[in-house]
Order: sequence, then structure tokens, then C-alpha cells
Amino acid sequence: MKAILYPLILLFTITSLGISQQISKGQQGRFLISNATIHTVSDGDIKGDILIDGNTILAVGPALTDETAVRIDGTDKHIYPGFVDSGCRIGLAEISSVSLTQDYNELGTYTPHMEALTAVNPNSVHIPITRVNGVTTAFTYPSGGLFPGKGALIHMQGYTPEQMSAGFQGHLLNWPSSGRRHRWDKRSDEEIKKDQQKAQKKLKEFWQSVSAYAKMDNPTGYKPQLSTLSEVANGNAKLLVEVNKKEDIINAIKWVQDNKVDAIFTGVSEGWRVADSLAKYEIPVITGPILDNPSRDSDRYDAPYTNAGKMMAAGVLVAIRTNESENVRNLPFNAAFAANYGMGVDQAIKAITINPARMFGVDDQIGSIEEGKLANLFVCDGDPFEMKTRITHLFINGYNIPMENRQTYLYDEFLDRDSGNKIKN
Amino acid sequence: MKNIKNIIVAVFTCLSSTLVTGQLTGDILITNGTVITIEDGVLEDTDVLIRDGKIKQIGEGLSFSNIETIDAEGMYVMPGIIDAHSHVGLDAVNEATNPVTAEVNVGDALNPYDIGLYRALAGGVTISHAMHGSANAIGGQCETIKHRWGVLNPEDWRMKDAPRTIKFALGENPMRVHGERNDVAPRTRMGMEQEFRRSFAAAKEYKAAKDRSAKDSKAQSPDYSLRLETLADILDGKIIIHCHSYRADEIIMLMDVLSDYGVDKICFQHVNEGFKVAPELAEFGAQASVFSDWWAYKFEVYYSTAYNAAILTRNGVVTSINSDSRELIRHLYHEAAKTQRYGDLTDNEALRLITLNPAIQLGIDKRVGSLKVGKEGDIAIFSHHPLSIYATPLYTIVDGRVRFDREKDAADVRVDVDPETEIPAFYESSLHNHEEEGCMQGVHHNHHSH
Amino acid sequence: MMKLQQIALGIMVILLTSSLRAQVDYDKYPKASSTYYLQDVYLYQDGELQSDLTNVVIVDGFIKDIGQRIKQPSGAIALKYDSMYVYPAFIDVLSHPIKAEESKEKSKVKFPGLPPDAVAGITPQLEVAKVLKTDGANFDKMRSNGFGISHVALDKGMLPGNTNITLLTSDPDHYFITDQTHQVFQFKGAGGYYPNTIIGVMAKFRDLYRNAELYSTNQGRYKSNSSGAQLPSTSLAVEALIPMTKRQQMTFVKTNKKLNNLRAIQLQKELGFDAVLVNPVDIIGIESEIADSRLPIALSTALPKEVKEPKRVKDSIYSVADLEVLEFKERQYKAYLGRLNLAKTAIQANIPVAFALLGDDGSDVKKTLTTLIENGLTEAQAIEALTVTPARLLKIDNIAGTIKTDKLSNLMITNLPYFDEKSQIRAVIVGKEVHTYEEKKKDKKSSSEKINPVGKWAFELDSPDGSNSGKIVIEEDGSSYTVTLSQDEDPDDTEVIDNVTLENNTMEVEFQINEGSFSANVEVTLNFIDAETVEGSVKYGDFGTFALTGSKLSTPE
Repeated sequence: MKAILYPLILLFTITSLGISQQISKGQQGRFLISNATIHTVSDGDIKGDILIDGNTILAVGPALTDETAVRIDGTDKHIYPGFVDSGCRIGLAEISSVSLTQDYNELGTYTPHMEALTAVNPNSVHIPITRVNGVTTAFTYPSGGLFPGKGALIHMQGYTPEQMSAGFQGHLLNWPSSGRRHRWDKRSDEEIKKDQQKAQKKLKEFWQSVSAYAKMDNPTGYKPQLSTLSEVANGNAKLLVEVNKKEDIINAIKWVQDNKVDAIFTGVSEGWRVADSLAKYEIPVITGPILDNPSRDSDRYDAPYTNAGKMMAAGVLVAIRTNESENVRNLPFNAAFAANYGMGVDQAIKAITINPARMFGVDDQIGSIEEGKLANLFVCDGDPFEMKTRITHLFINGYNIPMENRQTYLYDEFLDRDSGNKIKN
Repeated sequence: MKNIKNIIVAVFTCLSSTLVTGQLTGDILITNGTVITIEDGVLEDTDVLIRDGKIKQIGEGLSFSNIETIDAEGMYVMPGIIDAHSHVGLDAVNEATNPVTAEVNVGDALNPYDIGLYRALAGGVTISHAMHGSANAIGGQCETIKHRWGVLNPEDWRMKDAPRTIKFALGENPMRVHGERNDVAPRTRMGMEQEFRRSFAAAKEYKAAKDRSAKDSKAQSPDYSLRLETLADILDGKIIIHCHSYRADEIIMLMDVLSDYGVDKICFQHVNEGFKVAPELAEFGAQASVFSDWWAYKFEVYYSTAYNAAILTRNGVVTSINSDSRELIRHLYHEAAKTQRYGDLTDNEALRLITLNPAIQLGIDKRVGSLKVGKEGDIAIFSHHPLSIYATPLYTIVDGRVRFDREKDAADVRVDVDPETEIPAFYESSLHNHEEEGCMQGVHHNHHSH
Repeated sequence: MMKLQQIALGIMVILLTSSLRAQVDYDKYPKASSTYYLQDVYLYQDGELQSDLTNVVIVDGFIKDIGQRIKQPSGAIALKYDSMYVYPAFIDVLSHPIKAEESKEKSKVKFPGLPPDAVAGITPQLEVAKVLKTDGANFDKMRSNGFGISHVALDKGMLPGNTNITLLTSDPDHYFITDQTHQVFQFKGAGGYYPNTIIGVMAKFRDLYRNAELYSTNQGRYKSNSSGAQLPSTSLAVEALIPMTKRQQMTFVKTNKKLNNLRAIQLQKELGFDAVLVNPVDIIGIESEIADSRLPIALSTALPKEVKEPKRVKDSIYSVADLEVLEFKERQYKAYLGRLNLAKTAIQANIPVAFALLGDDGSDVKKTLTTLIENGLTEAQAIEALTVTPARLLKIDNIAGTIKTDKLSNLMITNLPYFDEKSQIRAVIVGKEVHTYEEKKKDKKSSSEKINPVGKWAFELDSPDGSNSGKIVIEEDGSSYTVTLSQDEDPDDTEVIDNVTLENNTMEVEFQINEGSFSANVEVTLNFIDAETVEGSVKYGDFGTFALTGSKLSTPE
């Protein structure tokens, strides 16, 4: 009985405390950031100004003027487009060990009709904590089963899921793995093979149903698992395929080719072993976390650091994700490690800006600083990958976001805490 | 046929002679580096000479004939990184059957073949504190190890004469393992307190009974109990407590209990809410070993802040940043740098968190943790300033011997190859639940699948 | 060490008590004699086969006389093994003829941190002699492979119980040749109860050991001065360990893992008991630690699965991926060689080496020894590891291990020197029993016989998306072959390949598949096992290699 109540009590506590620590409001309006180094991503670095109006970048260029705009002095500062985490669970997971605060893993093997956007919590404490590091947008996705559902690209601002939506939802497939789940996976090689074959068979049969359904002129009945994937089967929507091990990647490439699926591969931790194949079949890749352990005991220690760069060098379009629940704020540092281990800074920046925007088909809106694009950008006093750098201003959907969150509040309250009443012992 | 066999045997012998040798200390000269001493500032264009495993000289234009030399021009030379909280290199982490298991010692479970140890070295970490897990109120004794990759005997991984340490744990983990799962106390933070009081009282009685039987031949000595012997050693100040903890109230509770028993050697581990009681910690003389930014992986860390290390440091608490993870241990220099984003620590303050401060917490600061003549030759060499995101560890030296060399090391450095395995296993990913790969290791997977 | 007389006395006591309780067995008949005479045999003595023929007299299970001039005593049975070879029968250092029973007490345990000793796996007081039940079949098997003595132990928990040393006779009344027992210790947790892990097991062992020392002292002190004194503690388990602490028993530590050897050494150093490291698995690189500890090792007679030597032709022909796999194989092979070198390495480091069957019946022993000898062990070292050394480790070297007067008649007789490829065991004498074995005719298996592959075959392919079936048609045209492949899913879609080679009943078929933008090189390997069976594999470029099995459907007239 008590066990049932316990999580509810937690939830009440969380909500009530949340209210007492509300972040101050962001404001939309006209803003002119002047005299900064603008890292446009699409068009190199320029020295100049940015004019924001409403949710849009109105103008980018040298010596802009605007009488009505709120002026932000960008002297000695840098402006970057907002960073995009192309895979995480933000808004779907609040506290990892409290299952009732987790909304990313529905029961069942075939749940492609689950939609992450339904369950994104706009008031998650994680959101303000994440965005102050320049992460303005994230692809948050469900997991578990073969087809876990649809992930959603969201902005780190908004009062409802719809307001947060960045206009892309992606279907997901967990490719049946022939590897071990983790270091403590005690299955024998034989069991692993059997499990994988079973899952592979399920995929084959389920996809036959999806394809058959997709070809029907007038399908009848409520079959959300099939209908939702019809757009993928018909080549009108993307499928994100989570696949990591070399042999699995190769098999997934074959499956994608055979079924003419418009796919993005995710994870792809052994992508470096088959980078040429990925490039040859033009499969974009979302990889990460970069700050991870190698997949095999025999791998070079820096294999996860160099993977993204190796795939990029082979000609693969690469985006970087954190795959995090709590620390999506570490996205820039994941990209930085990739940058440092072969990818280079410019490409690493692209891997968390324009590359995912392209993959998700929203590069007309985000991913670079260009006139007419959404005002998703931040101002900082140096290299955004460096820990010492301060992010001073942040705009999401044109909202000037306050650089504060519960963690900064706690800092403010406790840095110079008074010693309190001395209780005599 | 025979030929290739011979070649393989020859290669093997050659490998064993370079890697697997009994020699634990060495001589090396590092020239022209930017030397970050931690205690004596940053010295440009400076050489460091290590003889027989100890720092012999730090200065300009040092020379020595016939010595292995690293030209560190343009590089940064700092003390080897010390991780005050790790479970890498252990075959067993939790004896989770009893809330009090002071008698067990993870030093018995050292596994120097764990590839995670090499990967820690590749992140500049020369010493780690291999700890018992957090399943029990009083867990097991821990072992401070030097990362001598290639040395096959666990005995030679121990840092000889490092003070004894023991793991305590408060809050959700022991409450979940014993109270929730096994249906035995403690189930609450109230019950947690009584576990400590009961154990210390038992140790006192045990000592008294032993004394009685020593004086009185008619009195039987109590049964030997390694558990009570260990607890008595804690009361006698012979063992430093490292206590897994999160919430402010439980931190205060343990300090109260320790005060009552006159115990003062304590370093709180994780201590995510340490910042809330920083003045109390400072007043007690307790230390703190924290994560840079982990939070929200369970309820008791929901009200955390990445500014914890900075607040503690500013309040005078000796603070370190630890990994508790096979992954974080690979880049503690980066974790330390986070305190510059979250709390504006100076370079030296930030680097102390992973060098001298953890050394103090492990009681080995007279021997390691800074670059000083006479100290042990544990050194990490970076391509850039270690707090820069572009810092790449290039060499890691333990007792004057190069144990990691980014250029020269082979990709596959396993020292223990299973003849039954052709292709090494592939692991899909590290776990998402942080504690399952850290201090709750062996607890979940023993009882139910995840 | 026990005196011979004492042992003889011990045996007499055992004989006497057993005959008293023995029931009348109407199927038994008396033996003609328990005196045997072996004439003109080559003895294995002092580490080698003697070059001169000699004679042996055995009386009542003991070797009575050895010598060229010894005549057949009257009343003796002459054993006809003229010009054959007599070795001391092998001695096994540890076996488990009894299956462990699951404890029923577990369900009652409320507090996993303090289970009863039985649940914790701590039962050193149990005596294997009292529970040893065997139908004799496993003993027969071990004996037929040359073993005469086995050291039998229980196998449950960290301290399973007292062991016994048995003669591998067919007569349960005569199993035990000495009252010398030993203890077994293993790094085995109690499965969710304390001690659950290796750290728990080691701590608990220290605790028990120290208490055994303490109980011994306290009980002595109480006996000498009991009036008004507090009663000392008692515990079956703890007291059963007192002989271990007094070094009256050896502790056979089943390590089963490289690192556990060093853990055992650590405990031994701290506490000071006599120990043998059983099944150390791997000691490469830690030989000096083991040698310094002066602990002997008992290797398992089972070898790891054979690893074929990888062949490296020229680095330049390998892709990066292939080279990596090749290097893995080389490392694996190196590790495998290390295991084959184990006995040699140990002996070179002055570590005494014996062998333990650990539940095996010994049928692999000759093969194992032959392999080890190919890798540098000498024949003499191999025999020593199965005779002299185990006798010493078990503390029975006064009665077993060598062929000497007054020792037990524990002998193995072979038609040729044991390590000769064609040698066979013709008799094993254990105590009073003589077990004879008929000469085995080698069954002719002509592996070189050429199998005709021509015809139609059905195959199953074990691929990741389930099983695939299909047909292979093989046609011969003079000296070359053509292969037609089809899958049952779409039988019309055939692939005709003439890139085919056949050698030693193995056919290699190679072709390219192109499907749209997708292409891969396919290599099919077919090993014809017999006229009806084929096994093999299909390698699809980088996608992986899948196993194939098949059978013949038809052969053209």
C-alpha cells in the first residue's frame, strides 16, 4: 500500500517545490546585438550585428541600426546558432530512479504510435538547466521494444509541447543487436544469437505487415501501429534506426536498401569500422555520446572520441547527440571531444547545428544564423566549447531567456549561507 | 608452421619483457614543459627529473646521462590525477547481504587486468581509490591503488602504506537494498543512524571483553570477529571513513554520531547536498568528494547543483572531484574544469580538486598530489592546459615509469586474453543508470534483470 | 607423516569393521589367491622405464618383491603381461563423484546477512566418507584410463567438507586406504546470502580460521583450568578447521581463475596453512609469485578448446578490418599456447605440478599429456605429475606414487610405452584387484576417402533473419565443377557459378551478388563429411559468415 503511494508523494513534493523556484520570464521583442563575431555556420564568421524581431532573425550584417530595438553590446563577444542535441530524453525523464517520472518507455515490442511530443513536460526542471549552456533544441525520443515510437524535435522554451515543437517528428527502430547489452550481460553467445534472430524475424514479419498496409488503397479498421509507419514504408518519412555494432550496421544498410527506407542511423558506435559503406549508401548518422567507453575491450581507448571524425572524413553526414537524461547540457563538450580527436572545431559545431537541422529537414528554420531563420542563438565571451567561456545571452524562438535555473538559484542561496541559529548541544 | 609459432612466442616474450616486469619504479627526465606544481605555482620551460620513482629535481636545464627523456616543449606537466572514488579494477564491489560488512575488503577483489584501468591512465589518472559499493550502511574496506598497467599481480597495484579506508553509505541505496528488498532494517534514515550506533557500541563491548579475558584467565575471550575488529579500528582512528551520502540531514546525522564516538576522520562522498551544510562540514573538519555535475538520477539528488564543488571550496571544505564511473574516470581533468563554468574556481583551485585534495582525503598528500622534490613520480602530460577542452593526455607516468603513451601504445592493450574468445565481445552501451556501473554494481544484476 | 605400520593397522581396522557389518552375499565366491606374480615386465622407476625385464610379486594389495631373480611364489596367480610396461597407476588430486544437494534450509532464512552455516556453504565438518555413494561406474571409468587412486571431495559452498583418499576398487569396503583427510576451499559465494561475493568469502574464511585457532586455545585452556571458568564457544564448523590450522590437513584451494591463485596465496601468507592450488587455469606472468609461495598446483586434465594457428601471409594483403581480426586470432592463439605451456612453465619455475580430474573420468588424460609434451613437457615430468607429486600432495607418498617394495600395488600395465601412439592400457591393479582390458582393435576410419560431390543437395543456412533453405546442384565437367545455387523462397532465381575449387573434400565457391546499388562478394565453403552430408559456411562480404548444413538429394546416374 505504502509502496503505491510513495511515488505519488514524490510527485507532489516535486511540483510544490517547483512553483516556489520559478524561473523569471523570457521576453520576445526587437533586439539588436551589435559589434560581435557572428559564427553563422552557413556563411563563415563575420564581424557585425544581428537584429531579432519576434521569433525571427530579421537581419545579419555590419553596422545595422534600429531605434526601437533593445541593444545588446556584443563587443568582444561571439554569437553562435543554438546547439541541437539530436538524441536525448529531455522532458521525458525527470528522475531516473523514480519510474513514474519516466515517460519514454511504453510497454510492448511494437509501439510506433507512441509520440514523445505528447509526454514532453514543458516545466521539467531539466530544461532551464540545459539551455544555459547554449543547447536550444533537442530531439527527445522514446526507447524500448523494436519500434518505440516517434521522437520529437523540441525547443527548450514554451508553455505547451506544441509551442516547444521544432517541426520534426521521427519514427524509431531499435535494430536487433547481435552484441552484448552491457558489461554485465550474462547471456551466452548462443543465447545472444537466438535472441537476435528472434528479434530479426519479428522485424521482418512486422515490416511485411506495414508494407502491405501501406500499399492498400482503403485500409480499414483502427491499426495505429501500421498506419503510423505507412509514411515510412512509402518513403515519405524518415526512420531513425538505432544500430551500433559493425555487423548490425551492415545488415541494417542492406535492410534499408531492400525496403527503400529513408533512414538516419543513430548510435553507430562502430561506424568507424564501416564508414565507407555508410558514405557509399549516403546514410546520415547521429552518433554519441562521444564521452563514452569503447565498445570492446580490445578497442583503442579513444575509439568513441574519434568515431564521429572518422565517419565525417569518409563523407558521412554526422550529427552528435548526448543520449542523456540528465546532462543534456554537456552536448557542447561531447562535440568538443569529437573536435579535438579528429573532427575539427568547425565540423563539430556543424554536427550540433546545421547537420542535424538538415537531417531533420528543418534547416530552413534553425542550424545557422541567417536572415529569416528562427532566432535561436546565444552570445558568449569566447569559444563555446571551453569551460571558462561564459554564455551571456540566450535567445530561443526569439525569447530573450534569463540565464538562470534551479542550480544557479541554489548557488546564489548557499554560496554565502549564514551560519544559522546555533543550537546548543 | 613451426616458424610462425616461434615468431608468436618471440613476440609474446618481447611483450612480456617490456610490459610485464616486476620493476615498479623508474627513471625519467621530462624537459621544457609548462610545469603545474599545484603547491608552487606554474613554471614555464621547466624540467622534471625522476630517479628511482621519486621526483629528484625540478628546474631549468636539468640533464642526466642515459635516461629516458620526454621532450615536453609546448606541453603541460601536472601531477598524476587522483580519483578518490572508483570501482574500476574490482571483481566484487558490494557484499550486499548485510547492512554492516566492515570486515570485507575490496583489496581482495583487485583485478589489474580490467581494461578500465588502462583507460583511466589514458585520462591522466595515476591513482584511484578502489571502493566498496554503497549497498550497506557500513560497507567494506577500500584500497588505494597505483595504476601500474601491465603488472599482473594485484599485490603490486596496492599503494604500499597508504592509510586504511572504509566505505559507509547513507540514504536511498542501503535503504533500498536492505529495507525495501530484503525486508530488514534500515528502511529509513532514522534506522540508518541506529546501524552506526549499534555497530560502534558492539565494537566497544568487543574490545572490553577482549581486555577482560586478557586479564582474567577464567573469562573466555569473545569469538574473533573481523567485523568488530575493523569497527574498533575505526573508533581508534586507524581507518579513514569515506561515506556515500547525499542529503544535508543525513550528513549532519553522521557527524553527530561520529562526534559521540570521538571519530573525526571522515570524507563525505558524492555529498550532493554538501553545499547546503558547507559551514557545518568545515567546522567538523569533514571533507567532500563530489561529482562535477551529476544530478537527478534519483530523488535524493534532484535538488543538486553543479556549483557544489565551488560552494564547498569557498567555504573552506577540502573538496575533490571523483568519477565513480568507468567513463568519467577517463576525463577527470574535464570534470574539474566544469567548476570554472559553475562557480569560477581559479585554475589552481580547479586542478587541486583532482590532485592534492583527493590526496589529502586518502591520507597520501605527503607522497603525491603535487610536483615537489621528494614526492613520488606520478605525472600526467597534456597537449594543452589540462583545463582546456582541447587538452589531450599524451603520457601518464607512475613512479617514474611511462604507463600510457598516446603515440606508442598499441590499440589492443589487453593483458589477459581468453583462449576461448576469438573476437572480443561488443557491448551496446554503457548503462544509462549511473549508479549501476558505479557504486551499486553487482546489486541490481544479482537480483533482477534490468 | 604416517608410518607404514599405522597405515596397515588402519586398513585392518577398516577391513575388520566392514566385514563385521557386511551382509552375506551369496553371489560372491572366494578368489583363488591374493598373491600375484608379474613376470618379465619393464618397470617405470626413478623417472624412466627400466631397460631390463624384471618380476614383481604382489601380496594382499602390497608390492612384496621386485627383482629379476624372484620366482613365482607358490599359491600365486601368474599375470601374463610378458614384456609389457608397468607404471605406477595415476593419482588424481581432486574429484567430485557426488553431486551436491540443494539445501532446503534456504527458504527459512529471514536475514540474508546471517544465514546458518549450511546455507552459507560452510560445512567443513561433513565427511565425504560417510556420504560417498557411487555405483562404481565412475570409478570403473577412471580406472580404465589408468587411475588407481582418487582424492574425493564434496563440492558445495566455500568449505564443502572433509575429503578422503580412495582406491579405485570395485569394492566399496576397500575404498579408503588411509584416515588422512584434507579440506577443500573455494571462492564460492552463497548465492544471495552472506558471504555472497569473493570479498565476503575471503573475509569469512579469515574469520573462521582465526576462530579455529582461538577455539583450540580456549578449549585447551578450559580443560586445564575449568573450575569456575566460562565455557568456551563451540561450533561444528569452526572446530572442523582446527586440523587445518595445525597443518594436519592440506587445504585444496580450487581457484578456477588466474587471479584467485594470488588471492589464495594472500590468504595462505596471512594465515599459514598448507595448500594446493587446484585448477589454477592460467599462471603465465605470475609464475614467480606462485613459486615464491611454495604452493604446488594441480592442473585440470581438460584443455581449452583447440585453437588453430592463424596464418599470416603478408600484411599488405589484409584490409584494416581483416588485419585486426587476424591480430585477435594471433592473441587468442598465443593465450592458447600459454595454456599448453602451463605445466612446463610451472615446472621450470620449480612449482610442483599434479593433475586433478575434477569430475572428469580421465578419458582425455593421454591426449592432454601428449599435447603438453608436444609443447615442451617431458614424458618423465608428465608421469611424475600423475604419480609421485600427487602422492606427496595427498601425504600418501609413503604408500603410493612409485613402484617400490612395501608400497600399495597401484599399477598400470600397457602393451607399449604409455606415450606411444599405439599404446593401450591392458591392466590396472588396485590393491588386491586386477582389472584387465582387452586389446582394442583400431577402427579403420579412412578420412582420406574421396567423396563425390556431384549431384543435388538441399541446404539450410543459419542467417540473422532466420533459417534459409535452398538447393545446390553440383556438376562436373572433366576436371572443373559448376555450382548452381537457388533459394527455396524463389527457386527460379538461380546463381550459376564456375569459380569453384575442390580439394580434400572441401569445395570453395566464390561469386558476386549485385542488387541495385548493393553488392557483396560471397564465399561458400562446402565440407563434404560423407556421401550424404555437407557442412560449411557462407561469407557475405563484410556482412558476416553464416553456418550451412545440408544433405544429398540425388546423384546423377
